[in-house]
Amino acid sequence: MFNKRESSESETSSHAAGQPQPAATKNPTPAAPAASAGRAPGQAVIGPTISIDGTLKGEEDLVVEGRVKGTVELKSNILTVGSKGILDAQVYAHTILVEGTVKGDLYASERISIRASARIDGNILAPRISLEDGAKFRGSVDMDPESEALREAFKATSAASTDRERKRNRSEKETGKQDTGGASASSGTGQPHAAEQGSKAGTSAA
Amino acid sequence: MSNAVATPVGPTSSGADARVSVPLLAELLTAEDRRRRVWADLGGAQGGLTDNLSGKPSHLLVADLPRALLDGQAQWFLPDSILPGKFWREPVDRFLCWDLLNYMNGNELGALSTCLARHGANECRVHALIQYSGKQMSECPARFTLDGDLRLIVDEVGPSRRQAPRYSPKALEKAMPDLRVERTLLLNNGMQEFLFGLR
Repeated sequence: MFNKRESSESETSSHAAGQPQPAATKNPTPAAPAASAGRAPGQAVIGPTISIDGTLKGEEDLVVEGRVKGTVELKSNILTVGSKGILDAQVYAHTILVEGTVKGDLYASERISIRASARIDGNILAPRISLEDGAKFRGSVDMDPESEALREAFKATSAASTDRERKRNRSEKETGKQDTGGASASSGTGQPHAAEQGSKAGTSAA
Repeated sequence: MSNAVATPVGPTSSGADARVSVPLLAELLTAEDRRRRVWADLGGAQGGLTDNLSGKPSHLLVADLPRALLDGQAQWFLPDSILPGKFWREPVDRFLCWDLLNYMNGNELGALSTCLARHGANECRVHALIQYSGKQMSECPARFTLDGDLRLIVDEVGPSRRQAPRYSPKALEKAMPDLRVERTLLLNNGMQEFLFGLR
């Protein structure tokens, strides 16, 4: 479902973003939007032909160029809604960049950046918000770092991440005792494994 | 009610990218209290205002009435017909109307003042810019952007013009019975800056 963009692909896409796009391409990988030039390699991408209805959870950065309806939870990561992306969702992320269309509430524990091409209807809550002139926005912006709603939205995350950290430390100690060489069973191929990355899409793809 | 003339800053034309000093608005934005304030911007979203409120305990509603007007929405002049009830849970401390009152007739101004009074906090202030010198004004509401020095960049949308109503303070108080004119200031771009309080 996700297209894991390799480093070389990312560079090619970034280069292509500033060039005229060919009329048709065999590769269904989405053309990178303008802001993708600075994107880190290895981001997960939901392409423009993909539509998801449900809850999308993960622990890696995600670029949405398709449609997502429901809830998106990337509480420790960056979500980018690309220029072709359409979200009808509640979004919780560490940082949110919007170039496309969003209907719903955006919660970010760190920052929300709204580009000129964005169209947003909903609430925006983050300690830091930047908005480019030309963006179409209707709704509310809450920049209060003491906001009750923001604290509430990320309370569960901080509790969960502390718990995960504790479990990871315990498991590392146990692994150290057994001295197995530290190779993970799921990473035998050398490719990142979805479960290992923590991605969980309780979704139906159309 | 006081009426003064603002010191001219920048070009005097009301054309694109003219920077205008707006002392009454700057005063509202630089008030040095750390109280949480709810702002309702009836104009379009703009980075300058967001940047200015960033770091303060602020909540900002953006209704984008100019878009509703361009889209031909019948109730475009009522912010609560554009933003549903869930956005109006807290009373609003500051309403920013920009030049929108120039595009409303008497009935629309009356309906707007009732709406503002309904959602306004006790010490609510309403800021507006009224065309006073030119007989003509832009066909559509202008785009406004605040720069880092709290000067206003006025960007008129399109070359078409229409007659300006040139509302006087008395005419506005008559049309908006829920508001009273508190202070006004003549600006160098042919507009008059207004600060209203609730009655």
